[in-house]
Amino acid sequence: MNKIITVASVALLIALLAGCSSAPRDQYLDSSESSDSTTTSTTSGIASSDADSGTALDGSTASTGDGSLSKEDLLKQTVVYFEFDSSTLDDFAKAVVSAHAEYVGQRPSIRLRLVGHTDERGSREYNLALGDRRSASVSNWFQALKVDDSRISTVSMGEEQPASIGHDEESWQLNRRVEIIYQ
Amino acid sequence: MIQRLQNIVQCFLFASMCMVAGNAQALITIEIDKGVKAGLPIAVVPFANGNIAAVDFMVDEVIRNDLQRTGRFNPLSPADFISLPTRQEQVRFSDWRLLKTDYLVIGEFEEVQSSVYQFRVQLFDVLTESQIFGRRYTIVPDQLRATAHQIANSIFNEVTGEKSSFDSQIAFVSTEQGQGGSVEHVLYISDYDGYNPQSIVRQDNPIFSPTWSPDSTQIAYAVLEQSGSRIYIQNLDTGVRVPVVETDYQASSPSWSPDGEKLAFTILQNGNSEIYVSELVNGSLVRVTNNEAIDTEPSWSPDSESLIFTSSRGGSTQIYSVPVYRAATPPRRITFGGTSNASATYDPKGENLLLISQFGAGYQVSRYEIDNNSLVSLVQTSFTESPNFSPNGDMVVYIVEGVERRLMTMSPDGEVRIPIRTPTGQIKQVSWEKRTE
Repeated sequence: MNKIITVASVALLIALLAGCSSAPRDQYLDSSESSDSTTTSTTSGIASSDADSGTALDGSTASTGDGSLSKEDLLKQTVVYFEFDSSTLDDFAKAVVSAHAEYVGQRPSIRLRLVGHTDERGSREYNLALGDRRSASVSNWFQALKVDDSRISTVSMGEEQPASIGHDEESWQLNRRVEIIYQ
Repeated sequence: MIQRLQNIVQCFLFASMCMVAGNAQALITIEIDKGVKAGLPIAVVPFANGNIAAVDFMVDEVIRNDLQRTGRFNPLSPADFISLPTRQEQVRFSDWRLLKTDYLVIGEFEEVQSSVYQFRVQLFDVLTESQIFGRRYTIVPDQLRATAHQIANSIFNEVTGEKSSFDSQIAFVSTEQGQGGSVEHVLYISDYDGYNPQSIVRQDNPIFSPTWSPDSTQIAYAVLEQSGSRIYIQNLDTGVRVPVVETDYQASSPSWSPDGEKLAFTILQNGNSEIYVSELVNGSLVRVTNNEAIDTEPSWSPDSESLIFTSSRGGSTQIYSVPVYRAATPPRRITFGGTSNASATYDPKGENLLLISQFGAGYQVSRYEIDNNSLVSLVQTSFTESPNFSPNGDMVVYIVEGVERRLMTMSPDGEVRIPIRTPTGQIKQVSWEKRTE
């Protein structure tokens, strides 16, 4: 349980550092020229899907191009983000899931709860189905990395629990997400 | 309020009418499009002794409001009236011809004993100077709104030859701030114009997609619990609710068939949403769709034979139709216009669809004409949701999302749009009952 709290508070800190003024994706793109700080690249919740180097399926590599993070930093990410109306994991999301898969792979007592969310656009029912697709998409990636599906539960909250309550893209992109929760 | 609406909607004329209702003051803003096909002009004169202390509304205002909402009538403002007759011998038809009104309604209350009223009302044809009908009611204040809707319906019926839905009810889902700042999810039923709201469910978990049984004795809805979404049917007399399908998977988006025998809904299973139909008499389950894409929001055809639903199977989100009991018949795509289309329901005749269509960044209530594949936007407001027809097809109810999420009615052509008064809260979904007299 302590782990969850730690991860959550680190995630909060990261979110605070990132601020709400610019989009995670934009930040990733903006910061892609500047090579440096881990803190900055940690904020890149969404990596461009055409980023040059992907993550190996076995989870052994956590490289995401110049936004490269250590496994430890990737583990601090407990939320993966999606494009509008999409349930496809981008390379950064895959790297995050891979890091968690490796971590829980060594700790058989941990169970995973994957909670899918959407932004407010589109109907409530469509979004409930879309959130379900997103959580299943993350679940499938865990299973591909040898995490048994009996250890994973998925649920969709649709558009009902926004992480950010604004009515613009800044908020929406924070709301299109799957939360990875250790139980 | 006017200012806020103007922020949202820029290209309309605003006719605003301040309704002082007893002690409470309600501001109703009526939006009417430019170039609106004028409804039939009708003058409803304030009734004599109509300010009844026990109620917070005026009966003549209820009647004007009902008639206005359909777009079929254009009730004139009493401020413009030359005379205010309440009895037939006081009527000077020349006054009403001057105002270019076709119809005139007058009436009078009399308290015959404590809190018992005799109410007399007459409808006149101004051109022929003849009475179309005269009625007399003996009522207590509790019956006043129902009587007002009944009179409005009589006027509507006599003049248009059609039936109105003024005496029907709606169900709507609202989120409210509970005690201690928690969010409460509430399912209300109320008169169609928002009066007499009763909360039938109040809980911590989100409520989805209320749908009425055709006899209006039960409502089905989904609840998004921590473990996932479940569908319940609630009896409106007893308040008792029972789960519809026992399944390990999430189920949502219930839709009650017009024949009352079936419930269609979506089952979410490992990221795949499919539409199922359950026979309510025996709980049997038939799978209707089979596709990897999102399939949801089933809604019945008026003959209870087929479903329309929202699907992303073609790439963009569109409306499809599928017969329920012919497994070999694949779904057929219905909508082709617009970036995406969702939340479709049939009009009562089954000729056109009412749906939400994406235009640019906005989501607009639209009509899809099936025969000629044409998509007509009915509102220019950016964000609207959950449109559905009144049982007699004379109005549409929907949600507009501005600073708040409010309920509105509009005329079927979209030209006359009037807010519905609701308890404080954000309105999430709305469903008009199906029952017709």
